[in-house]
Amino acid sequence: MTSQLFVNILLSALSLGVIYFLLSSGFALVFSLLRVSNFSHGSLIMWGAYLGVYLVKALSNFTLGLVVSAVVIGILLALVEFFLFRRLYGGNPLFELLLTFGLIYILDEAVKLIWGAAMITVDKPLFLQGTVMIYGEPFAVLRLYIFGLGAFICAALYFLLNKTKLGLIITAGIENKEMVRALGININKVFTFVCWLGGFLAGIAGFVLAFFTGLSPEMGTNQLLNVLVIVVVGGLGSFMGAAIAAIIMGLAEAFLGFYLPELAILSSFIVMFIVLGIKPSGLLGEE
Amino acid sequence: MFQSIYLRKYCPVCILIIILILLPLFSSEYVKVVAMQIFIFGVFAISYDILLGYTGIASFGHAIFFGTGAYVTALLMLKSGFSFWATLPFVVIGCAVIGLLIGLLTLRFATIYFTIVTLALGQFCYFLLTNALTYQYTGGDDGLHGLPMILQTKNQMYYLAFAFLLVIFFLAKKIVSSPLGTTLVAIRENEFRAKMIGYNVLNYRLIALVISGIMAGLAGSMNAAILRSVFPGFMGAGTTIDVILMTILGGMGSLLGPVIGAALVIICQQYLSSYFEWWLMIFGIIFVLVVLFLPQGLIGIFYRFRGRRNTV
Repeated sequence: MTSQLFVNILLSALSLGVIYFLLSSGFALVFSLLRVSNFSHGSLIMWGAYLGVYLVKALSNFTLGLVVSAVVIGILLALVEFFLFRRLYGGNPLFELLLTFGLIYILDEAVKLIWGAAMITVDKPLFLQGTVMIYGEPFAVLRLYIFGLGAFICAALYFLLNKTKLGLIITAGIENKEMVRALGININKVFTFVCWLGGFLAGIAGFVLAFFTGLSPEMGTNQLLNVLVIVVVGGLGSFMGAAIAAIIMGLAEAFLGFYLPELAILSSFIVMFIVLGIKPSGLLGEE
Repeated sequence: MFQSIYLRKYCPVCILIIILILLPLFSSEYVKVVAMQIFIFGVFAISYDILLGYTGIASFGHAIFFGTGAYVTALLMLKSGFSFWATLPFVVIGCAVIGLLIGLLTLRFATIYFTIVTLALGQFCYFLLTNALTYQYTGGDDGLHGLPMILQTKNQMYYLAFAFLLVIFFLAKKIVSSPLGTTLVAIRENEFRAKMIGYNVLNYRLIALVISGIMAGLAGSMNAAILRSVFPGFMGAGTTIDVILMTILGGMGSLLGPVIGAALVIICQQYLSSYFEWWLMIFGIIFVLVVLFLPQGLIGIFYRFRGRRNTV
């Protein structure tokens, strides 16, 4: 294998990893604080894609459309938290899981009603078309843009969680909710905010995903399994673990796809079984 | 006095059984096929209820057992010329072994882990069935067709499926009211306390998974015998989702509820889907409402109504 080819595969593996990070970050964040495994995350991703593409066309402004659609998806999940999840806190966690499972049907069918069930291809905007030369090999500008976006979001989340007072409350809430409550902080508001943020991240991830898979009602639920596997491998409740696991998944899929194409579709399972076999709580999860 | 209470309690059930026995005499072929599907999926939902309702663990890969049962029966009948009845011991052993493997691999995780890992395992098995390497055995996406008839007429098949449902129902009833069943409920209610009393929680959950897996496998092989073909969809996420819907809508932890749920879901799939394109959305809304307000499922309405009448 030439070093050029190696660099090329490595770069596409990393950009795949960044996409996986974007897809799973919202789920990991919501789970780490609320302990709700939000199965409708895939459907929110799909909604982000449809709404984002629609708004970019309607507002004829790329960044504005992306941000507005992500904010709206965030509000959607915040409303779900406020009106539905809140009724079930303290009970059997199974019911929260089943609730989000039922939401999949509502969200997926709503998209079919509005935009139809047929697949829609998405054109890249002009400034994301074309390639640049990296190390003597062509590399799509779109993937570079995704690198930038992933790095920006990772940095922003790191800043939010580690350098602000709100982040301090969230981190404390992940450790011990009762203590945060006892200190006189209304943690329910923080729950709603974190759900908004999770929805926001799902919206952005969906929009990015649309450039690769096109728009279809199944695009989100198809990714749900990847998201769940990444979060389990990273360790449920560990946000940084999910980021590392996403990069590992990207690497595994791209390199297995090159050497053993028949097994590429199973790459995420292989990684999962290896990691969970060695450490059942995931990479950075605690017992 | 005592007799009349008994009579009143079991009267609706007896009437229902008599109606179902007489059904094939005056119904069309199509209704019979739908009814047989309801019986099969009723058994499948009962097996899921033992896991979800009584043991309190949510598997999202239960179709693994259903698919295993169907494929073991189909392969043995087609490739080795076994009769249907001779394949059943293999189905039981196969499903028990798979249940043990899955249980040992996943039950030590916390419940949410178990859910996600079983979901991944289900997809893994589905890929195993449909990939190019196993195509010559499993027929890939096309499945396997042309299983020999196990009984001469459709009516006999109907009664076989109905008897199958009744036998499994009473067996499951016996299991959940045995000391084993009550221990499972105790573990579901308070795992920590059960552990302190001295029960080996992992072992009991493993037993529940194996029992439930065997029942699901038998339902799968019965389905293969009735449809006379098997499809990889039997092992897919869609089958698991169906059984979850049936169990939750009907009412988990009641055994009868999941059977009612199975009837409801299958009738809706067969009849509603041709009238409404968006019936799944209504289903989703009902599902969410049931989870929020009626955790006992639709059978909970009946119990609540009866409870009120008894107290008044």
